[in-house]
Amino acid sequence: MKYKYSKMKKVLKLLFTIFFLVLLPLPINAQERIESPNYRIQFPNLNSGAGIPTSTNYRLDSTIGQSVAGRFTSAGYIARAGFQYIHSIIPFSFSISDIQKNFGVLTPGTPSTSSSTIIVSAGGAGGYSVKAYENNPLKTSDGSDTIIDTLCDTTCSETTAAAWTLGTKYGFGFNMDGDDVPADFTDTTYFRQFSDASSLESPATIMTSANVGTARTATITYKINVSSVQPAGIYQNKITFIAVPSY
Amino acid sequence: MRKIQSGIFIIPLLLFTIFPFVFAKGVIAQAISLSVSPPLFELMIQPGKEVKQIFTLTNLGGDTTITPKIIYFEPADDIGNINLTEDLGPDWVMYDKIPFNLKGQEKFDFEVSFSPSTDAPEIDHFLTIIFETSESVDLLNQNSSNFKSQIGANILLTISKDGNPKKSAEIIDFVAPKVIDSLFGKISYQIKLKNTGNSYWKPNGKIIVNDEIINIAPQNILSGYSRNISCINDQTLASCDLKDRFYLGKITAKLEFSIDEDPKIYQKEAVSYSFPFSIIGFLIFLLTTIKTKLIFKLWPRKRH
Repeated sequence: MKYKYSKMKKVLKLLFTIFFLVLLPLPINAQERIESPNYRIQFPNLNSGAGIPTSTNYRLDSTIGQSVAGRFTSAGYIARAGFQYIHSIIPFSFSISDIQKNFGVLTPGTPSTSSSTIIVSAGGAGGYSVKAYENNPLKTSDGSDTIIDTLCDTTCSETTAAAWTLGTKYGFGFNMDGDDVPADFTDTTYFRQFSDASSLESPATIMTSANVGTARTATITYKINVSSVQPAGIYQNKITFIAVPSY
Repeated sequence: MRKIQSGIFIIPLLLFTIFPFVFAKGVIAQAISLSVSPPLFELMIQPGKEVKQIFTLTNLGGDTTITPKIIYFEPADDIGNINLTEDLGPDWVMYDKIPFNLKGQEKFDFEVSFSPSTDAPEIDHFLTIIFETSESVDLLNQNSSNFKSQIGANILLTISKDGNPKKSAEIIDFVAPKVIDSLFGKISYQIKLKNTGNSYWKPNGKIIVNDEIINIAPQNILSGYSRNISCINDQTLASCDLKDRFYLGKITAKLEFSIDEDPKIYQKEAVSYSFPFSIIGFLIFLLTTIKTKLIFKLWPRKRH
């Protein structure tokens, strides 16, 4: 009898375990709401930001804050500054920790890497994107010699990253790591080329978010690897970063 | 006396060493750091009128020279990102094109004047004002990359004589999962709207599910383009999720919105079905287990 009772108890214990395993996850709600102490969204006030529009003929400050664009008043215009649904004191801002990156003396077969930090705050904007391009691949001042844009271990481009770990693969490229970076930068061994303006390539997105956010931070790591047949010289180029909010 | 003398040295020492660190704002000397406000400026204007707008540019990096320009942009995707073009804005969008110096921690109010001529066509102009930093001076002459940055703010401009440009919408997508589990399932609505009119607009509306209301975000949709629309939940941008609760059977959601002040209401329904699959599964498992246990218990008795 005692044996039966203990068996029954074991069965009950098993049932309870299963029961709780199934029901315990219930309170875990996958909240996708985006919140920040730095902004709030409200109707119908507007982020007037830097300015109330002015006109020579009318009192113009009264138009800002108009909730929707409708029929004209006597002013002959309707203006709105900032996003209707975001009330934020944070302007759209972009920073990069360097104005120039010196790669020093390059040793053939030994990759040289260096990093910069990019920070974007889009508190008052609905989202943002940062794009980058180079004026041309790294070149000597007379343009006679070039360090090619990397093709990674197999192949990569200005829009698709790939692993670049082999010391026998040469070129110039970059990796992105941190907030809002493209998903193809799987880890810190994945690199892309910069978009090359001299080849008419469009600037490629290196950070983007559809949501408001503050101090979104990413590290960009530049990498150069040259072969032993690379002619000696000073190789340089110009990289432009473009930060724009969404509309 | 000696204390006073030492104080004479200590106070200036503090002033020159500690205070600058305490009171210094976030200036990054050898960096590019710019901000612009407002990030978006919307204007509907009659031909022949004039409006001026100030864009405030702040430099928290090192001293630089800023080159301004206003160019057209195109939508890059369905979530509001842009691609800049090479095309300069119309000549009646006037601003000082001469590059100007901006020292670290300095603000600059940049004025832009919009004054379309009386015969300007009634169309939209989608522009971005770009402020570009100068490139650094290369003193070391080493293998290097020099950086420049461009920061922008967008300008949505409608020219209209009567303030009522033709606006119309098409609901491209209003979708939800067809079937979900009552306990663990989650319903998230996807909204994609298209602007089929001549001027950009924002949707003002909501998703109604029985007594639950989810407000949609009034995000700009440019003429000829479509955009995925987010929702607003507790004054924040959010995905359009139905509250987590136990639903059973048919769930009908109705999307209702108007565009700007237009009285026309656009509507579409999405239907989902919720069933307690996990509970049924659990009960089946429970019954099977009990049945197996009973058979197991009865089996030895039969053998005796």
